Amino acid sequence: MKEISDENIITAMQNPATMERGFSLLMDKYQEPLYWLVCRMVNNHDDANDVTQNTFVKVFRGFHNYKGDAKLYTWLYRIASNEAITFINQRNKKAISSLDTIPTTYELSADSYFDGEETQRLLKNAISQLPDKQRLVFNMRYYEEMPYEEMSKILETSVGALKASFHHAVKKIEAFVVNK
Amino acid sequence: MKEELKKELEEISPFLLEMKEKPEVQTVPKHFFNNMRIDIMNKVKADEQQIQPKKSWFYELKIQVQHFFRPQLAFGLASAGVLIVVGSLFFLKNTSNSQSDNCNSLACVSDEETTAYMDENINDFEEKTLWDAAYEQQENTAQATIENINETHKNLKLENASTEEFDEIVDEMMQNGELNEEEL
Repeated sequence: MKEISDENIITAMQNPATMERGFSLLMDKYQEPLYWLVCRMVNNHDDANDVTQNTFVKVFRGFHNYKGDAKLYTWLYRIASNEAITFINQRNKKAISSLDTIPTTYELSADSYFDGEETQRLLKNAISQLPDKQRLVFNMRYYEEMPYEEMSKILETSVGALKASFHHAVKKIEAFVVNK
Repeated sequence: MKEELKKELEEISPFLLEMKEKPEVQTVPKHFFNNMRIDIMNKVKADEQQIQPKKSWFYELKIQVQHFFRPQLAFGLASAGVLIVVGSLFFLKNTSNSQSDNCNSLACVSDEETTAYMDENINDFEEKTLWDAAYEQQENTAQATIENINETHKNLKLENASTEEFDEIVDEMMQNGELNEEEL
């Protein structure tokens, strides 16, 4: 089936009569990639489900704010990234206030939907110990295979800074895996 | 994998390049995306009932204009307009009548009152108005003088007349209109 264009989705969503249909098309196209982006950030399926749902509800509520000055894809990824980072910060604050130990590596073995071999589990744990922004940069580049120029628009950071951030993340991951 | 990323990983981390070529190990439950989609649509619909999405001012204006030109409302407004016009005409007519009544009542003001008013407010009048008033007064005085002379002449005629002449003079004066029956 031919993938619907962003222009058609935007046109449908801008008309009150077809807004719901447009939103449905938007979900068809972006639900999975946004879920995986969020899931790699929060490292937990249930949390990723909640954050992705919140992201789409925000997209629907705030679509009148979308002026078309950025690509729809860029605008959606920016909202999802912000939602994921906000969620992680809240989770960390809760952990501090309840005197829990903040995990340096998120235990993927606790997530029943992770079914990887040991090296992959190690890789996921290594990624989870990166700082939030660096983890986001690494995931976008490594898993989403996003060009630096596109990442620059989403994260509002220079291409040079993003390249440096990715390079540092790679070195930290390698060091983590070797030490284990 | 994109060539650009492959080159980058070859340079900085062969280990991550190797890992990248292995299949994705994370999965989602069966029908997860369909269920999530239903959940999101339910949340959005619940939201729609509580919060109406903001609409542009142009859209709001269009709705208001369409509402304004509904047939029932337009008919009502037209009727109200006709009533207002008729009422205004009636009011204006009454106002002009009462103004003419005022004019009549001004005409009834006596000469003494007018003179007294003019004496009191003499500084408020223009010189020309005062000259016109003086001229008019002069004319009235002259007219009165002529009338007095005529009256005196009439009285003299009657006083100096003999008994024989009296009846003739009276008849003559009545014929000329100098005397009337009431004066007799």
